[in-house]
Amino acid sequence: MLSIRNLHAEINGTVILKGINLEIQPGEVHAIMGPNGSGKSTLSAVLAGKEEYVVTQGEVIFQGKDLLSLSPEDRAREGLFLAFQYPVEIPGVSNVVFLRTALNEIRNYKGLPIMEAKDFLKLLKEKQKLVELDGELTHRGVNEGFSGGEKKRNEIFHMAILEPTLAVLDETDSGLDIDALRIVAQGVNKLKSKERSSVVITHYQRLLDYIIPDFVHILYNGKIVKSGTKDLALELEQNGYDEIRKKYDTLTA
Amino acid sequence: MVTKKNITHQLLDELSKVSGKNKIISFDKIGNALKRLETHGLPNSRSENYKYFNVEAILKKGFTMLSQPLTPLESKIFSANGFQNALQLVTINGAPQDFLPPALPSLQFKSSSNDDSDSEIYTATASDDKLRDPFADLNTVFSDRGYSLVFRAGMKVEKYIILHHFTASASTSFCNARNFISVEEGAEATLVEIFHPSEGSFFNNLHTSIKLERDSKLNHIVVQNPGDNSCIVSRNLGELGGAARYRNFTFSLGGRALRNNLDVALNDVSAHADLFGVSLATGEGIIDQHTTVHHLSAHCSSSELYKGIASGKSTCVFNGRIYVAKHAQKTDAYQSSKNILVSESASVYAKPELEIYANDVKCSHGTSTGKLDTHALFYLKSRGIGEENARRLLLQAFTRDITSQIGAAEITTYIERAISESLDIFSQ
Repeated sequence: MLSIRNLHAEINGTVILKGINLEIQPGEVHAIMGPNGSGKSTLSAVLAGKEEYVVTQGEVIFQGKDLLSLSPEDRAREGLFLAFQYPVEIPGVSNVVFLRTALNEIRNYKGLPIMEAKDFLKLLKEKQKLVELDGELTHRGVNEGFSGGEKKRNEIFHMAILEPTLAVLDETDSGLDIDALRIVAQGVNKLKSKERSSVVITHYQRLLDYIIPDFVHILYNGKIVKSGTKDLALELEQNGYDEIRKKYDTLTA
Repeated sequence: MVTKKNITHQLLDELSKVSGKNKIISFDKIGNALKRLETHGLPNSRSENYKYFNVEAILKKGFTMLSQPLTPLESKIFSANGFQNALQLVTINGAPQDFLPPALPSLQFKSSSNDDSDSEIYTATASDDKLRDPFADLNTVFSDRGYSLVFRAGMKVEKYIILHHFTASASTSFCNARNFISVEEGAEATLVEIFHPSEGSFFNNLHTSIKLERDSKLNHIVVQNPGDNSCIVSRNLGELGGAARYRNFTFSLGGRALRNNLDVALNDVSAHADLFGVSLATGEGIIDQHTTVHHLSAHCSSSELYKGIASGKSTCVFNGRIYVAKHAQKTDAYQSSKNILVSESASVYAKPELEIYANDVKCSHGTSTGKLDTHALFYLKSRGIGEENARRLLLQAFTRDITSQIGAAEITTYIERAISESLDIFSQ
C-alpha cells in the first residue's frame, strides 16, 4: 500500500529526514515512536504534502502512485489522511460545510455522484456517535473554541466521514486525558479493516495499550533505527530513549 | 493636462445645460455649494480626503448629465430574487417608481421634494474641510430627483423593505439623487438597498439624509455593485435621537470605483450606532470607505467593523474617524478594520482618526492586514478540498462575522451568495 524508500527531507536548509525506509501492507497498523526532534512530525508533514518541506532524495509510492508528485488535495482524494498534532481552528467555516465540501470533492475525484444532503446528515449522525462528539460541535466553526480533547476527537470524526485507506495519526494522544484517549482509540479501532492501514505516530507507549500495532518502529535522528513487534514499545517504555540515544549517537558520531 | 479647475468647470457647464429643475434644495444652499465648488474644485490626488480615489481619472473620459429617467423596467428583474418576506420598492436612475405601491400604512415612499429636510451635523469642527465635501456640494447644486422614505411613528414594520436601485443609460451619465429616510419616534424597520450593476457607464453621486427620532431603530443594509464601467460616490448622513439604534451594513462588491462617506451623529443620550462594512475590491477597482461617528451627547456608544478583501491590482481604503465632543462623557466607541490581500499587486490603506475632547470615555481601535492563513489553507487541502474551494471557504469565513449579524435569514443568504459570486479567488 505504502512504500517509503530512502526518503530525505529538509526544511529551511535543515536536514530532518535522512533516509527513511518503510513498507506498509493493507490492514496493518504501524506505530512510529521516537524522542522529540527525531523527525516524526516531519515524516507526517512530508507525506501529507506540506509545502515548507523539501524532499531531496527518495520516493514514496502510495497504491502504485508517486505520492510526492501529487498535490496535498489529490493525496487526500487518493485516500491518505493526516490527523494533525495541532488541528487548525477555522472560525466561520462550519464543520458540516467543511466535511460536505471535502467528501464531495473526494467523491467527484473518484467519479462518484455528489452525496445528497439527507444521506450526508445521516452519515454525520452515525459517525458523530462513534467519536462521542457533541452535536453542537459539528455545527460550530471547524475546531473553533474546541478544547484540546475535542479537537483530537474532531480529527477522528473527519477520518470516520472521509474513510481514508491510509490514516497517519500525528501524536493524536498528546494532551489527551484517559477518557478522550479511549474514545480516540475506539474510533480508530472501529475503522480498522482488511483494506485500511494506519500509521500511529506517538511519543509514549500509552496509546498503544488501546491501539495494538502490528509493527513498531523507532525513529531517531531522521532514520528508522529499530523495528519490531509491539514488545518493542514495552521495552522502550521500560528503558526510555536513553539507550537508543547512547547507541546511535556513538554510531553517528 | 487636465487641471482640477477646468475639470470642475467642464462638469459644471455640462450639468448646467440641464439644470433649473432642482426643486428639492433651497436656493441659498445651492448658491453656497456652487460658490465652494467654483473656488475649491473637485478633489484631486493632492486632496487628503480623496488621495486614493482618483476622481480626475474617472471624470476625464467625460460625463453628461442624465436628462430623463428611463421608462420603468419590468418588475421581473427583481421578482427573480426570491425574497419571501419582503416589500420591494424600485428606483430607476434615482427616481422612485410608483408601479409597486407600498401596501403598508406604516410606510410612505415618494419622490423627494422641498418638504424633506437635510440632516445637518453640527460639531465644533463643522466648519472645517472634513465636513465639506465637493461631491455633496455637487449633489446640492444639481440634484433633481431622489426618494423620500418615511417609517411612521410607533410602527414596527415586520417585512423587510427592499429598495432596488437600477441604473441604465445609453451614454455616460452623471446622476445626482437626493434621498431622505426618516424613522419616526419609536418606529422599527429593516431597509435593504440594493444598487444593481449599471447598464452602460454611470456616475452615481448619491446623498442620503437618514433621521432616526427618539427610540427608533433602523437596520440599514446597503449592497453595492456598480459594475466595471460605473462609479458610485455615496454620502449618508445619519442623525440619531435619544436611545435610537442605527445599524448600517455596507457591502461593496467590486466595480470600478466606489466611495462611501458615512457620517453618523449621535445627537442625544443613549443613542447607539453599529457600522459594518465588507469591501471586495477586484480588478483595477477601488473601494474607499470613509466613516465618521460624531459623539455629540453623553452615554452614547458606537462600534465599527470593516473588512476588506483586495485582489488583482485593486485598492481598499478604510478611513474611520471618531469625534467625541467635550460634553459627550461616558462615550463608548470601538473601531476595527481587518483586511486580506489576495494578490501581491493589491493595496490596502487603513487609517483610524480619533479626535477626543471629553475626558471620561472608552475609545479603542485596531487594524490588521495580511494574507490568507497558509495553515488553514493546508488543513483544508489535506482533507481533499481543492485550492479554489479552500480559498473560497476561507474568504467567505472572513466576512461571516459581519454577515452573521444581519439578523434576517433571507437577506443573509442573498448577501452571502452575492459575496461568493463577487469573490475573485485567484487573481494575482
